[in-house]
Amino acid sequence: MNIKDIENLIKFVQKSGVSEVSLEQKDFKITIKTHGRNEMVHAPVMVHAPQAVHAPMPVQPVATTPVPATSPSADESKLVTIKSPMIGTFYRTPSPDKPVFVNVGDEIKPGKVLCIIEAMKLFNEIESEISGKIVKVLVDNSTPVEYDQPLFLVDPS
Amino acid sequence: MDNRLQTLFTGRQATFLETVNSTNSYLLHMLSKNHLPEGSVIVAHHQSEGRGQASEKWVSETGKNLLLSIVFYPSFLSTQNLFILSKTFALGIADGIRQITGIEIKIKWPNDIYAGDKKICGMLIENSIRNPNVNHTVLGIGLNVNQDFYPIEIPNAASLKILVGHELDLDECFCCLCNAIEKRYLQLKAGHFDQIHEDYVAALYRYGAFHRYENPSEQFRAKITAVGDDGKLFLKRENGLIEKYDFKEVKFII
Repeated sequence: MNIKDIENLIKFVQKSGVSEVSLEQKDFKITIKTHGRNEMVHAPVMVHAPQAVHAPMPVQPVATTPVPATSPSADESKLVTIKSPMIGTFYRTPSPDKPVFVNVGDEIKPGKVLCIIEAMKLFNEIESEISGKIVKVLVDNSTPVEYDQPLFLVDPS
Repeated sequence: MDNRLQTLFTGRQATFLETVNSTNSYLLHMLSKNHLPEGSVIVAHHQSEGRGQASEKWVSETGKNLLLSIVFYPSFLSTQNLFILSKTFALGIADGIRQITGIEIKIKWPNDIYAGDKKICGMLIENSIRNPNVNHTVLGIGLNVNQDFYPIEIPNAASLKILVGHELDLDECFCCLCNAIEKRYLQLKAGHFDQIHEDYVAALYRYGAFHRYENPSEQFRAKITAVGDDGKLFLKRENGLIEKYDFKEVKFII
């Protein structure tokens, strides 16, 4: 299997929608994992068995070449998730007729109020601990959240 | 300073306003500008947008009731254990009103204050959280003191005057409340969670007897057997089945 074959295999796995494929051949083994719609591709684990070299060519076997990190979500690894500090109901506005605390694209800094989580008639304004830009709001307004549930994705750069 | 105020810090710094949109909003706004000493209070004669639970309005005649908000800094609490604030403040307010009136005062789960089947006081607790800490807690209180009449739409409301039969001094009510709330807050700060929980359950309106309740699908008879650390209400049906309810999942039929 050469580098082109591996690239094709990764594309095939991404398209197929399966979450994990392992392929084992005589001289190596490859595992490709995807994560839902993000199609994150982990660098495959390679195991190469001692190979009988038939031709005296001083060329490295292809299988030992690390697969380049072609993950389309490589940037996402830098993102920080803001999680819920408690169980409750998630609100994006201070009251129903007011504008949202934060929107996608907004710059935030420590102390900026992001949302309210209401738990048992206690209204808890949740402040940001970090600086960055809101990339995604992960929970709909007025829906229940669990402890540690991701609420926002933030680009801290 | 009123010598009836026997606190270390609660109510020692007080701002009196004739009218304000909401004492909680006013205090929260002040806190966003400056640090205030713990126990600082905003007191108003009238609130134009007094808030009850969610967006329910709290009806109050000018100058007849006690409308106040107090700031605390319970940085010792975990963000997962904030219901204890409801228990602490409800107990403090109930203690204070008991001292003022001499009548039996109960806490309707989770934190309304009742005398008999009438609501006499409501509270609104707003916390500011920067995980994993509590920055501040603002306790808003609306105590019905000298109001004579309540609209027909709120048949369960009453004032202290209606209950005891005479006018009460608002300043004395203010001092009594501050004294009693601070006592309970210091108990919380000292870590006496079990005592607070025990006293809270003992003060619960309708505890341990069968009454009517309503969930989204039906009306039923049940009795309150416990309140969880998370604040959930345990209701035991007549057939022995125990259900746990979140606030808003169950209504008391009074």
